[in-house]
Amino acid sequence: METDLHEKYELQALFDLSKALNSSLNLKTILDTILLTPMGKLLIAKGIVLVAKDGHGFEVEALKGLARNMLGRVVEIDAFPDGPTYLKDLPPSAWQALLSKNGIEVVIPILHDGKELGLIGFGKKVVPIEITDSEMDYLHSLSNIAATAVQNGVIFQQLNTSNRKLEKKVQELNTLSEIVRELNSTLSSLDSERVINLLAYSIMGEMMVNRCLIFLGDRGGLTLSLSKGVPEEQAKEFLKPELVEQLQGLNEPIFATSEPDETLSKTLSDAGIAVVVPMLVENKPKGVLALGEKITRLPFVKDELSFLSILGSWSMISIETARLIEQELQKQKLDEELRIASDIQRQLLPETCPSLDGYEIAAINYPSLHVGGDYYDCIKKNDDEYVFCIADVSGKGAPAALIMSNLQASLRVMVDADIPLNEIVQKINKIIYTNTPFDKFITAFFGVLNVKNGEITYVNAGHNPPYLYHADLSFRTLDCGGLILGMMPVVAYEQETLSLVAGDCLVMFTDGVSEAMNAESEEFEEHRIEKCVSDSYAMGAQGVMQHLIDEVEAFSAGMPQADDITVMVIRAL
Amino acid sequence: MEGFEVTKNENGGVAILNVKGYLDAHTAPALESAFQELVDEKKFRIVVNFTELSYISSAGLGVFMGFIEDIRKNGGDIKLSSMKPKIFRVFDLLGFPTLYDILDEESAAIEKFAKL
Repeated sequence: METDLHEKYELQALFDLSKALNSSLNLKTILDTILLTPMGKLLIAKGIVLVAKDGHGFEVEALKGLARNMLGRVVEIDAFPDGPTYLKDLPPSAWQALLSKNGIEVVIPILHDGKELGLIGFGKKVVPIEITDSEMDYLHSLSNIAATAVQNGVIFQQLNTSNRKLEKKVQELNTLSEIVRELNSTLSSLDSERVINLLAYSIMGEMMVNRCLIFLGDRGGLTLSLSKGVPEEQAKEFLKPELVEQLQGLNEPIFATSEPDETLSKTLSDAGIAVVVPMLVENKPKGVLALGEKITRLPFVKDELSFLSILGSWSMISIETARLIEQELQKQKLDEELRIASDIQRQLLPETCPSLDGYEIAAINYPSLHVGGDYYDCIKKNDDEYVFCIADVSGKGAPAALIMSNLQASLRVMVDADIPLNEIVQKINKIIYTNTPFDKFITAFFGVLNVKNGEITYVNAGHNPPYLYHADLSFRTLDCGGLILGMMPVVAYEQETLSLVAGDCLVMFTDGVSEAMNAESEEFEEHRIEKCVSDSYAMGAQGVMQHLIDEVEAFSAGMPQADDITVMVIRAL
Repeated sequence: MEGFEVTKNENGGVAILNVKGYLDAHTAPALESAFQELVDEKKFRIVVNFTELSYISSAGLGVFMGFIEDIRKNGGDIKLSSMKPKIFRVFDLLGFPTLYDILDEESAAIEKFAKL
């Protein structure tokens, strides 16, 4: 009767235990229950549980009444017991000796489907009574009941560990994607300092380091671009030529502790740097990342180094791309500006010159690649008079084109005014002076030709003097005038009036002709112009112009055309 | 994208930084300058209240790494309080609880300083 009750009680206790064990997935709770329940019931003061590790060996996962430094110890267990056994009955071994030394007397295997999941150990009772056979049976049942729970607990723990690893990876990926997003958004403004800061902070947060140096460079050398937690003088120690060479030669991370080179290793440890990671773009180092030890004192593991390498490379790629894009934009902007300038210039030049009764007129402009500011024009003033002009605006590109348009507009307006040419030029000078910066000016030659009486009146405002050739090939230059346009607000200009006779030929040009350069860096100069005109005089206005252009082209063959080339020829028939 | 805001106040000789919104690479400089101002003013006892912070990235955490050594060297500390579970998870993942006091309530964080 009493035995029945006792057995019932035992069964109830085992059932409660089973419920308790299977209600939790937490391995620690399960193991605590496995130890504490029999310890209370059998008055035992010491208990220990070892759980099979993934690879091999058994790790101390829980203990009671024993020194906590035993936790985490891994032991090899040979001759695994197949049931509850007294330690003293087992063949001597290292693990047996270790447990005995710690006062463990009985061990019970935890078996699940024949797999050795772990081992429970208990010390002796606090009262001087041996553990009875029926108590051994109870411990056996306990381990049988516990097996499934332990198995689940172990799996759950593994799952938790991998989950955590996974979450850590996700966090790393988040960091990477954030960096990339941020990098892409800074592309337009090319804020490489910002990219570097972002890189530094992400690494410091992710790796828990508070020393971070970033060097940027190329084959040309390295520059310190960011230093956090390291005094700058110390950081600059890395820029010694012999170190720069070493750092730029890196193609994988190095550790301060295992760096063979003495200078480098000393510089690293002086600055408190633990690891150096090259930032590679297409396997070429574009920069170097140097980090201090983690605050946790944990070592950098392989995964983290590859994370750092990826992060570094991506940042470098972004900086590089941003630089290229900026360059491209700059170039596009320049190209666009030149296109606008050349459009303006083309539109300002007359499509064709008016035909003059009794005169031939020929004019041409070859704009240079950079669009110089050459201008020529020929405008009918009234039935008898035509105004013509050749000019060269200082500077190139859009600014020159705009000034040129200013000149063209004022000339076209002034042409109708019934005032002498020199006063027209004086007014144009004032307009150009007012509308241009002090370093911009125009050399120009203006003339009025009366086709009725053959008189020509001209003003030369600092322009290359045109030639007036006669039929006998004698010539003079037309120098009368005054200061170049746009230098001073008020300038008085002189004008000269000549009479053209049949065969007289007026040759006007810009410095793109006289200063055209050959491969020997010689200029074309006036004497060659004179020869050209003499040689081609018989061929008429068009022929003179074409010959001059051809000769200039032949002279400067293979050289880039630096300036606009403009020629205008008027010949009396 | 949500913005980020940091406001300062003081409680019992402890500087409180209230952070709000998104703390990421983009907004980290704002927190950095807030810390820098406190350091310049030699206020080394700092509690960062995370009540209104809805997101933090590694770059955000980096700011805390950048100042902690300096502040502790000066006898102060940065204590963190009132994190949403999502925020705490990030700090926990990267191992911050071993280095920083992370408390549920701002008052508890301030008290920690009082006990020093």
